[in-house]
Amino acid sequence: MTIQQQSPVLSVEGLIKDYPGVRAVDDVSFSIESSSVHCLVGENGAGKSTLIKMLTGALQPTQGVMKVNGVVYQPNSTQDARESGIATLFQELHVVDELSVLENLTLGMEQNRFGFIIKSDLEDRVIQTLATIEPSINPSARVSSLSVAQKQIIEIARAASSGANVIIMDEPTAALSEREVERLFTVIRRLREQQVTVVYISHKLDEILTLGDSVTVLRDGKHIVTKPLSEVAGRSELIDMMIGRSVFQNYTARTAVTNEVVLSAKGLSNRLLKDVSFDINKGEIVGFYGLVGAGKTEIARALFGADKVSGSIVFKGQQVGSSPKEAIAAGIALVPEERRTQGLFTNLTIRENIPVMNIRRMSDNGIFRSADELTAAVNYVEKLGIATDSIEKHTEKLSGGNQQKVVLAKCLFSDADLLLLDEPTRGVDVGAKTEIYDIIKNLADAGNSVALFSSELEEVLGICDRIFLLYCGSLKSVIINGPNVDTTDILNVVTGGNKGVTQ
Amino acid sequence: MKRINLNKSFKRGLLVTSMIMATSFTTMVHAEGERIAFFVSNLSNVFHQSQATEAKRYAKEKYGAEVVVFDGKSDSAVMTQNVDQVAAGAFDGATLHIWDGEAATPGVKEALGDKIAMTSFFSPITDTGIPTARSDEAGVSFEMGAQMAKAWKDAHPNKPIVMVQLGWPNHTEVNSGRTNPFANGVLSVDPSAKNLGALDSSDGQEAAKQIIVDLLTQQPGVNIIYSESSALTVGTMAGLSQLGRGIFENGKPLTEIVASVDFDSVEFDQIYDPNSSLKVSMGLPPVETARGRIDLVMDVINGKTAATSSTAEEFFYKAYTISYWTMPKAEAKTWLTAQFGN
Amino acid sequence: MSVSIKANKALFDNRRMSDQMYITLLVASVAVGLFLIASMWVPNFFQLQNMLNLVTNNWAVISLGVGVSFLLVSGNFDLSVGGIVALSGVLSVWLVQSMGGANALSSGLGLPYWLALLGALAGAMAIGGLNALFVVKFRIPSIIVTLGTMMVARGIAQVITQGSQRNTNLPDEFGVLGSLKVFGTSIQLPVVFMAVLLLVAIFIERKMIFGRLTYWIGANPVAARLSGIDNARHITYLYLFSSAIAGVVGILLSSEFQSGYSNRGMLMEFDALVIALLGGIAIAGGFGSVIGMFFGAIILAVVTSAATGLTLSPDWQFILKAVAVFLAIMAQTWALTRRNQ
Repeated sequence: MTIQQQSPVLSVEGLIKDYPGVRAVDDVSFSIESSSVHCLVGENGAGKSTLIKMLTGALQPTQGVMKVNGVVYQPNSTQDARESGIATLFQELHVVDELSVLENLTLGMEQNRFGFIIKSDLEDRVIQTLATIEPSINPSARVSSLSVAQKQIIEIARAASSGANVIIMDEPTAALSEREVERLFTVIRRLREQQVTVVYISHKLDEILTLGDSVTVLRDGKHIVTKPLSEVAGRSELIDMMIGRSVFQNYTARTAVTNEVVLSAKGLSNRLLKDVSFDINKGEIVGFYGLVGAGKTEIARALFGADKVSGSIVFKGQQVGSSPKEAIAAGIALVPEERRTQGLFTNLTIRENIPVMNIRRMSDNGIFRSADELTAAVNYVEKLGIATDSIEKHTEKLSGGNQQKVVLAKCLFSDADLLLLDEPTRGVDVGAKTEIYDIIKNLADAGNSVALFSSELEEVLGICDRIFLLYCGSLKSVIINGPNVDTTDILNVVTGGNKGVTQ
Repeated sequence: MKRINLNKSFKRGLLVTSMIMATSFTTMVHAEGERIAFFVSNLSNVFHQSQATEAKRYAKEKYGAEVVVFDGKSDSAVMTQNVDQVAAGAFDGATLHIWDGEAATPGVKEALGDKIAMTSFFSPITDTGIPTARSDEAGVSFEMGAQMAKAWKDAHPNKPIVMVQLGWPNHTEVNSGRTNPFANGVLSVDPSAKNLGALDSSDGQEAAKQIIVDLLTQQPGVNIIYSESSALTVGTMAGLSQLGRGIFENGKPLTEIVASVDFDSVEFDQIYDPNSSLKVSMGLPPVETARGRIDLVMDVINGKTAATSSTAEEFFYKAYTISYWTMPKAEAKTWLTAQFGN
Repeated sequence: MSVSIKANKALFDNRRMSDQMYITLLVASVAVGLFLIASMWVPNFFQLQNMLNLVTNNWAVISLGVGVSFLLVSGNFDLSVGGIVALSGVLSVWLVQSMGGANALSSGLGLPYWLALLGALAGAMAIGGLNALFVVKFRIPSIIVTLGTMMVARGIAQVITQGSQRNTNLPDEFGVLGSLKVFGTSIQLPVVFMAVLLLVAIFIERKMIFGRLTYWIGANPVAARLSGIDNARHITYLYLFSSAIAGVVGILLSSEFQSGYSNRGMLMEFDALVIALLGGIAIAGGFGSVIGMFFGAIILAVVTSAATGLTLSPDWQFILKAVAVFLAIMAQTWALTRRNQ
């Protein structure tokens, strides 16, 4: 066994990345053995994506060293990384639909002399690589005729044939069906046989347990452990390492919660959702928790009428769900997932953003109540603590947290009885986060209902009275928040495990 | 700039449409005797309708020839397409009416190669050297200018003449047939008259109106106006009316005199109205025009005129000066009926 | 809490002039500046009548500019207005021409005049409805849709007039609307129509919910929908309004010139677009004002008028206009970047 004598194919030592106010990656050191499938796990915000970005040259570390085969490695771009033998398979595909498989594989690698493409052994080489990892794909087929999974394999083959020793895969199964996942795994195993190392990032712990050789766990930017998966005692140990005992639980039972149902959803189904039913009560804060792609945004948009789903949604005795206009009129407001593209009018001022969701209140027989707009703007800037020197500031110039507060102000101004918040604190700094939680709590205490859609466990455990757990479009379980909530159990459910398995 | 691109795409769209239309509008009729292709720029125009009718009648009667009318649909692409039809079809001769000479040149040369007698109407076609039939517009323009200058000087001997022409300043035939001789006509009466020159009104009625309003505000002394087509005259008179001008007092000029081209029934009422400042117009006779064009193409077929020459030979036929001062109203009415049949 | 709460007063006091107002003022000053420069070069340019001419000569394109501006602010193009001008003008003539004229072009349907006007307006708005249908319902880019309907409208006009014009056999009252002088001045009814339209449009834009909705939709259509705005209905209204304005312009022009002419309004849609852009309306939507569009029209009018007064050749006129448009757009971009640095 010569491999053991070699230095690790990729290693990091004392790696640190600081953002203003946040240390995203905190003194991380580990190494990756050659010809293995090395998994990287951690909760949202654990530092995985920052780490990957440094490895691929998209970000530069604040401190620390990265090494490839024992040699110091300082990539400045993905191109640099590629030349050092590190390729990345991103979630968005980078294949050209109009070209053939072969042309895609050789794209950007054509050898030419005086502008004429010359025949080389390149084609033979890539055909061979493709045949090794996935013989069923015809090299002359048009890429547009292939499935998403097959396109992914094309990208992998391209990375492999360009001489990459390490291929980083970021959530590669997010858009795949079960059968396609199997196929991808076969490809990954073949790559390993070809002396290629795969760094595999996924939220789905079952995949990691099936596929991985070793695992690195990150938590809050810190390195927790790196060890062979054979030494890991199943999902429960993995989950314990991911969350530690650090989940911050300051939830106290709220008195405003009633048993009066305000919204009742039955049998919501669409491309992703599978027969989702639930009730939301007056004065309650409910959380919808699940991984990316579990169906949180889909439920929020369905309740708001932004997307059509089958099933019935009844709000205060009235059928809703056919249009946002109807939802707002009935008393539902949504803070959408994408603040800048869906929530804000970024080239308008704070003042002009606030009244949009309550046109009826702003209209005096068709005349716009400009005075009310001014008062509302000043009131909300003060009430929500939006940091600005003027209500005439364009919202594009505000920080993420303040932008989110403007979106909240919009929704509050609509006098909604039910507020749907889709990832309301994503990209928001810690201070503003706390303020937003306070706003939510005050709102619910005043007798309104709030539905919080989040992929941060800490967030839902911090303020929600009840939590719906989602996995792949299904509502798996409902948890009543309180001091005895078992976070391991929650993570087990949302990563696809069966309830109770870890106990 | 965006506007130019849009403009281009619009024109391209029109071009494609017209090419499709052109292919479906050409008809072929076979008969004895010579076959002559007779082009008109737009058959829906009354002038061209009369012209086409007379051409058919006259050719049959005098030469026993058959005339096939090609309608240009006011679209230079259609006209060019029609030229190619002539080159491809069994014609002995053609009298063309073409707006885009450049585009038509290859078709004309091909037809010449096939020994088809090619002639043009109104403008010579590039360097092909084919003979061209034209109305004697220059004579009429000169006469109108002279009459207007005289009328003005008689009424206002102390007010200097300032003249302007509205039309197509970059168009060779318009300059030689209308703009220049008109100015010379005015100068022949009053050598001290001031000529502001020709202004571009090719955008049509609204443009003519805008020019009149702007120009006469800034240069109120303008008193002799030549509006070089009846369509423009509508805009000219509307502009004058907006400025409170455009009127005569019982046959006597007050602020200006206007001349037009393409005398028709609408202008008839104004010219013989003693209180309108439109007083003269060039009468282009469809009957004489049709005969002149047929005679010319037959002359080429019969060898009386050379098929081509180094510079295009021009043949003129009569145009009329319809004038409040020199043509009695009844005579003008008769002329209209004779030429247009209504 | 790290965020300090500002006093009410500061939030008000720090309000500065909006970018909108700033650009409008800039366009207006460019227009006035150009007028003064032209006054130095062109004899008799600086006089009241000439200032009036700048407006009255452009009543048609300014009127069209109102509809086009609202649509542009909402993020949509309307290139069909020129075609609609031709169509409604031709329709108003054809419907009212008495039956049994001497030839095909002098006989129409012989309807009463008021009915002919309604018919012409209905024809115009049908094109507007078609625009809305394709843009809103089938989500085809508005620039393509309205380029198509422009040709459809002009095509119908050309069929009715056989590619020429109809100007005979009209009732006496036909010419009244277009050339009626108001209050004994030289101001004609169409100019009054433009002035009223402009004032109403400014009121709607500045003071009414309808104007606000237009800005919201143009600034971010996705956010607008998620804020409960019925984008589809609003844009349908805008297309109907724009086509109705174009219909009225077509009727007034055919009345003034007493003819239904299939080439009338040729390229007017581009003029309307150019003055809107000159007036500072963002091509991407969400920004701009009708007042800006008005001054954009004045900029072009000053150049045209000066060129006419100097009796320049067509080539020089074209160059002069191109330079003016280029400078005006550059000035705006420069000023806005500088201000927002």
